[in-house]
Amino acid sequence: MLEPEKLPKKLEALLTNVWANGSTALVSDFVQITGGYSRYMARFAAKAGDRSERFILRADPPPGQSILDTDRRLEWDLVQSLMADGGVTIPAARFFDDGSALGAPAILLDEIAGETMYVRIQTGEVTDHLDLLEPLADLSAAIHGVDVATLPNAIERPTSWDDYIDAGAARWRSAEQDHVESDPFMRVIAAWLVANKPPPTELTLVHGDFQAPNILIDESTAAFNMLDWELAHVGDPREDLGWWALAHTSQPPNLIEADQDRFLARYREKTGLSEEVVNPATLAYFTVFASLGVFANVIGATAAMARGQASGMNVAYMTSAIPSMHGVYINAMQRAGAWREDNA
Amino acid sequence: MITQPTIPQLLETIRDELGDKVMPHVADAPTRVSIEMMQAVLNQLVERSEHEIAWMTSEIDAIEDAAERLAPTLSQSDALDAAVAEFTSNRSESMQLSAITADYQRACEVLSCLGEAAYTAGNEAAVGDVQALLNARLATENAAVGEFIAVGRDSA
Repeated sequence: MLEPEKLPKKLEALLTNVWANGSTALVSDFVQITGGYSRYMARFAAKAGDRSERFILRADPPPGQSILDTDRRLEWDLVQSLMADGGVTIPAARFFDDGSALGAPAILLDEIAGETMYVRIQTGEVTDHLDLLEPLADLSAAIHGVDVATLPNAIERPTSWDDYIDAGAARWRSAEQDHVESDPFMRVIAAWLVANKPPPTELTLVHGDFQAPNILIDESTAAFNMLDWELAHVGDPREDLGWWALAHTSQPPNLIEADQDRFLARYREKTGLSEEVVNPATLAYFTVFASLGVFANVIGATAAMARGQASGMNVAYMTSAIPSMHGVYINAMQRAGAWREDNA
Repeated sequence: MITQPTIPQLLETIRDELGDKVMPHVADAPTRVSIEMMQAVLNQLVERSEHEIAWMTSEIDAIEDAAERLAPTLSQSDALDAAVAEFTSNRSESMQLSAITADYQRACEVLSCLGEAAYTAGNEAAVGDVQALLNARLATENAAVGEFIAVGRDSA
């Protein structure tokens, strides 16, 4: 189990073995990073002899204190394949620990000096940052352009688009049935997703948590680095664009919404997808579709708390997020219907 | 029993004490985020402790009314029939929160089945009625928690 107060010493032992080239590693400036609700994150400096570097630690938190249950080994394997592919800029993932050294499965990444897109767009008006839309569209297109064949075998490949969408809709229903209380929103969503399928498209790599706090802008190169790959999977690329809308409801401003046409035009240009496939209605559809992964984890965590199997303020706090997510779904369903009517 | 100060007043006192007296002495960023989360949850509890029973009983009545009105317009649905029967036969007279919550859960299952039956039948009028019930439910949920803004993100 992860014991945060012991991490600097454990990191020194780990880095002495894997990084220090025969010297003893010293860890300093160890600071926990707030803002993520799923993993334990920290930044620190490491020194061994005349060598010094800064790292990010990304580890599983103590049991029952996360809103997501994901696999660090799979995330490590994925980022290794992405680093080899080179199509998407990400911080270099340097070391993996299965928990034997640090107490919980963890990844050590290079720390990149910069700020997240979320922090960047907090200054001034959102319209002051519209020049970020093209690199943002390029980043999403790059993710969706990764050759699926290069991804780890452990990442599931759906058999077909229809099967994938049907299974996604069915999961809304089954997740509701596994929950500690009835949630009519989820059941209606499942029925709506089946009744309102958009035009199909090729299945691609999907980041799964595509949002401004997960995009780090390198201060020296201005490159957009995509962080936090724990929810990545093979699916419909529009999921990432739809998820963005939900994520930014609780984390304003929504940069894409500030000029959606401009973003979508660039995205279509980079991916070659048509307007029939990528438009406001399909984005609204995938806002609903894409959010089950996170929503199911959120309600799963609150259910675990209700059953006495989980604790932690992160989990209790998520009860406040659920109505906001319900609201986004209802809104998206109505927007999709309105756009289709206007463009029939 | 003691009813004054009320539960909402006591919760508000805890919330305000956390913000005014505790927070200024906390420099540790993760702990500050934790306190902000506590305040958000306390805000939710203030509203729920005052209104929860009334909100649930009102929604139960609305769902029961909708089921009586819509069921005859929809195709035969075993799931809907079973949910209505389960709701009707277990309706409690108790004012205990746990009994009302159980009634509410059974009513919610009726609403879920109504929604599924409406979409399956492509019955636009019934879909509209179900959406109106969900909109009303959403308004209640929003009244309970207010606007949700994720805390701690600006330091990420």
